[in-house]
Amino acid sequence: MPFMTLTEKDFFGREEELPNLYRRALDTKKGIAQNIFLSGPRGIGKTEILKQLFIRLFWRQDEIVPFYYSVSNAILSAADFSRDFLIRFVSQRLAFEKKEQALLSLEAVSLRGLSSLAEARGALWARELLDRYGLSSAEPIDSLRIALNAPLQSTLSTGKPVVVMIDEFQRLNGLQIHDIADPGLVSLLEVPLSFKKASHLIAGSDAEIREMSLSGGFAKLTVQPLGPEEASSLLLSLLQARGIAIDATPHALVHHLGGNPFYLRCIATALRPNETFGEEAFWSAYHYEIMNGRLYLYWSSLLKTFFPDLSRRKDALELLHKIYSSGATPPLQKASDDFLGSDANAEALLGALHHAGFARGEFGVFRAPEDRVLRDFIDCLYMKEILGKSSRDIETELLARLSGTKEKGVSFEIALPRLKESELVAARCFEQMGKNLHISEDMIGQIQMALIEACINAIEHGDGEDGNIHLVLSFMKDRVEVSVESPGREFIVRETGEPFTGQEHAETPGRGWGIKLMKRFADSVRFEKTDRGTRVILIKNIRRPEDIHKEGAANGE
Amino acid sequence: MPKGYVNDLGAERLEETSEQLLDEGLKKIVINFSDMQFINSIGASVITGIVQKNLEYDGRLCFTNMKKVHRDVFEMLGITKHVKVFKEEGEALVFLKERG
Repeated sequence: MPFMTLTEKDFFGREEELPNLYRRALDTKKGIAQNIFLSGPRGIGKTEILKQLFIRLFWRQDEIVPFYYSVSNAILSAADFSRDFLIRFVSQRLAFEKKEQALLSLEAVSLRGLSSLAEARGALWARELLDRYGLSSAEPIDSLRIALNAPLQSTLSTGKPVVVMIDEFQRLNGLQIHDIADPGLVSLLEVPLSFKKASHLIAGSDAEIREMSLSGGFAKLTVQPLGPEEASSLLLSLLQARGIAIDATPHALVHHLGGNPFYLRCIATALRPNETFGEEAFWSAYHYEIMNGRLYLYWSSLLKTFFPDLSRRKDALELLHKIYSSGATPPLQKASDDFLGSDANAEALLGALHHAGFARGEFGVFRAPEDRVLRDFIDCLYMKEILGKSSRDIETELLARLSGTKEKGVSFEIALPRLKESELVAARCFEQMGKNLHISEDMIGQIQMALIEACINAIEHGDGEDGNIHLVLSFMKDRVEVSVESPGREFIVRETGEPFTGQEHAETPGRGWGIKLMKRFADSVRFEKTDRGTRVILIKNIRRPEDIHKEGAANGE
Repeated sequence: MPKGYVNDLGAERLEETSEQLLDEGLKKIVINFSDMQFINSIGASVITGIVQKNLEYDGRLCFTNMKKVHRDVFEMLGITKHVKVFKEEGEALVFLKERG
């Protein structure tokens, strides 16, 4: 293979994306395939999807030729790039014909050597292409044009369409002619991009690709984060491959990692075999990764790539810290006055941070990304580089902040209008969250019953200006806590701490059963008076399916 | 067959259908709960009424395809003492056929 890739069993959660791309790739032979921009945040798994697509196309069919190319940041000149691109394309194209895996791994082959290989295989089109390239070598733009058009030329000569996958596509912006970067060179792709029998699939840094000067024609496909179940499965599989057994899935940490396969791999690698793995060990591994591990290296090298100068990097870090702690860009004037010198400087920094993926940019306002791991990394780096804190202090601070996440588990807050059947929305939300967090169906059903009754109570009794009832659904390791708060007058009988059932409900059949059902299906039901009105708190102790399974295994069942 | 959310409205529809059948002289009724996703206390209470009515008419009422949580609700309300509960609808039909 021209790259390292995961085995199929370790490739999780892409049951929709990969077959979809495979189908679209096969459409190339009908001449109806679209060019695709595979979008998604860093680490989400775009590269792995491209590689898996290449493998499928290479081994499972004979009509569409796959070509995978990752633009290297070590290749700067357009001449070097075109040579590398052409050699890799011709090698992969020749390899596809008779599924010669050895040809895929050709590294240091010369143009002449490749030309001989092509001749030996009767691929005259390839020989002619390589000869033409050799003749153009004095003109780097001509060479680049020949290389980028090579897939198209091979399709025209052999009748076999090509799917061109270009990873790290944004790096094409940095190609140089005579040592000067010329972002306009990428426009040489316009011709091959318009050819429907050689479709292109590109991936890389979202923000940068979006600003490249290509006239379009790309359908955007967004790669989603792994769901909680898939993320847990990936983590368990990676640990299993390393011979590591764990007590229980660290659900809070898996949630914190946001379904990012790269982060999950970093954590799996950071754990050392032959240790006991409770939740604490995972959080320690996370801390290590943020401070010293692969995760640290990944984000810090990206920061260095975009801000090679140390003082600029410090400015960037300070600005990021402000954005992350305030939730949006500080006004340029304020940022400039504080530490950046001029508005232009602040704007340039923001633009670079946006391109690098450290900040989201919407309508001129830059915000923190949703990526919690990235935010932790920046916080720790800020404490280290700007505040000059010791590693021990940073660790204490990070773990103290994360302990909130660990103890609280996962919480969802929902405001529901006091409308008939709003309780159904609450029940359905709970069902989805419970499934994502691996709570058994039976347990979900029981909590839903209690939740429905608590919501009906709140809808019936609530009044006042706030027309909503407020739900907090908290999922902890060993219990679920549901709080349903309704505005307006309290409805608790002070002497008993129980809600009263007024005359208006006495004649409604079943209303007396609401509280009883709550108590039947929750382990604890508590009524509280609050500033807003009244709150019902339902607590249910839970056993997750894997706990039950583990107990069964321990009992030899 | 009750569907989706059985609250006051959903249960009343079920009650009307049941009463209609009883009025027409049909005394063997099977209620298949496989499509019932949620029930609340009011819906459960109306179903209690259906069971009472059925007893008054000396009918035979079978409940089938219930989720465990819904069976627990009916048990709590004392409904399951007065109806036959089957896992599958087919079993209830065989039962009613054999018992005449």
